[in-house]
Amino acid sequence: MPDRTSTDLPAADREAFDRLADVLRAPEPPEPPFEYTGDADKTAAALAVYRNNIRSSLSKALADKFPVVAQLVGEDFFKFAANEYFNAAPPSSPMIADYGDRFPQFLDAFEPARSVPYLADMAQLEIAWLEAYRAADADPLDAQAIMAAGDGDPSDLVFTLHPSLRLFKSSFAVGSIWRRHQSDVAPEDINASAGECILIVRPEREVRLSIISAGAFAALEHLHAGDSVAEALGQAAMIDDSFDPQATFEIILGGGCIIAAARE
Amino acid sequence: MADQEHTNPVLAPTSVGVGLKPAHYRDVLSPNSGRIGAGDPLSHIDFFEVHAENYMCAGGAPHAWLTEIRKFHPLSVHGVCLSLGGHDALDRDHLERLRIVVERYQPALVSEHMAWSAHDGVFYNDLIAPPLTEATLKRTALHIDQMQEALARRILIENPSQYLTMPGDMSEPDFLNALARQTGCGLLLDINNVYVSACNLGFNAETYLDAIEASKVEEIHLAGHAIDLARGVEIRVDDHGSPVCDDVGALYRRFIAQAGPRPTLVEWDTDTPPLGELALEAKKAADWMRAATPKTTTQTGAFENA
Repeated sequence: MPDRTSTDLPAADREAFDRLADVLRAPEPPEPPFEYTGDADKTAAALAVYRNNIRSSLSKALADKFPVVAQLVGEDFFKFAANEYFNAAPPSSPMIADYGDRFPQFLDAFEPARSVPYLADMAQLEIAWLEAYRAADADPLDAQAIMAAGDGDPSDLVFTLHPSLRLFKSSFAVGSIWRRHQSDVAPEDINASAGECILIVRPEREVRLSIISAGAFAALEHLHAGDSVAEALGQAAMIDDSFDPQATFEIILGGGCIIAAARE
Repeated sequence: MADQEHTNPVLAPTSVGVGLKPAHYRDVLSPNSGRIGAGDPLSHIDFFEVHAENYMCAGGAPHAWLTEIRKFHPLSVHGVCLSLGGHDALDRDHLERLRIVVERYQPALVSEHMAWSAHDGVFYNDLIAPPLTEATLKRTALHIDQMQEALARRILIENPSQYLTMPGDMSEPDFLNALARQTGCGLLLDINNVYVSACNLGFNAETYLDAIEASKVEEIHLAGHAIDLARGVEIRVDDHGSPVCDDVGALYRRFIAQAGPRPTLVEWDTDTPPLGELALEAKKAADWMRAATPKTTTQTGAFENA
């Protein structure tokens, strides 16, 4: 390999990059005259192409990541919000899949979006969905394997949960609203202000989203923290009067949430 | 390529491929679906090119599909975010992500762009042509060295679309030739980008192509572009959203006639059509390549490294 190091590089030409980057990032296009060579109209047209490429590609990236938020607010409003978000927090990483991780907080404080109070939670739910979609693969254990690990009694087992598993609690019905926006679910009447506990997991290729009881949610939180089955179920029973351990176990097993089991 | 004993497949110079999108996964793996007038679409497609960034995740459906497709088809991994032409130091985390994708799929080709996307810690998500100066040349050569070292293989470097006359004193072909000579990388010649840049900046596309060292060109990109009107000025925008136009086809045939066949990839990234329609674009490129290839092609202008 040739002997090249970064210390050989002149810094003086940084200005050419700085000037163009400033123009590309600025909320409004620059007024002529421009500090570039060439015809002023052609320069303006070229800058408009770059500025539009950047904003439209990033707006599309957000719409791909937050499809339900985009449906809820409509295309024009979403583009407006995406443009404001770019102005407030342009991406700092080439990982465009991570762009928008602060979009929920942005929406929460975004005055024009106040009429949809659950928008920020929906955005947070869609981040969790995408994380599950992209997470590492792992094979879930079935009931037989778990019973074998506990010699017939799983009470003192601790579990490793699936790397794609995400738990999200909202004071709005964002799980139900999310499901209504998937094409294969028929519309239903939803009380948007009824809070929900949501489990997201991707045991195989498809991401599954389920609305679960507060007790099942608590049990999963405790299992995720490394508590034993007995401890997790006990804690869940304390916060949820109608807690049903058997049904919870079926949700966890049927959902493919467990990938390893060991005695405490 | 230098590593014949490696598991990376080697593409024949006459190979024609298309950009692979998630909407095509199912059809690529089901030979009887998506049939077109000319028969099986896959009979016109020799390889698939993917954007590396779409596979920079630990697991999930994208890897499940691509792993299956890789069993049957050679791949080209095309990075679009590394900002090799930028002023910022190379993003080591992103380079490592790219290395993992290349290791996972053992593609026939790996390519990136002579362009910048990031500056001063902000990522702009576009491929922006840098000023063509000695300083940019040194910096880009260093970044290519770093990329080739990290991946432990040669890469191809692509000419960007130009919209803006940038300060600088080198011509783009001289710049690209120098990069190839200094770093040992090959060139990915995007003929649509040459045409778009020539129209926007007012240079002659044929003169540009004649100045490129043909022996360094190891892949060609073809794509469609849009004609926009911005501030009363007609400007060609490289949107990869339509069939390859006749002018680009003529430049392509001219290059092949002089240089011989090269693996050719048809890109269609905006409003991508079904696989059958994309395959017809691949067939169009293959027909152009066959018609333009000089009869004595096996002797003249063959690939330097094939």
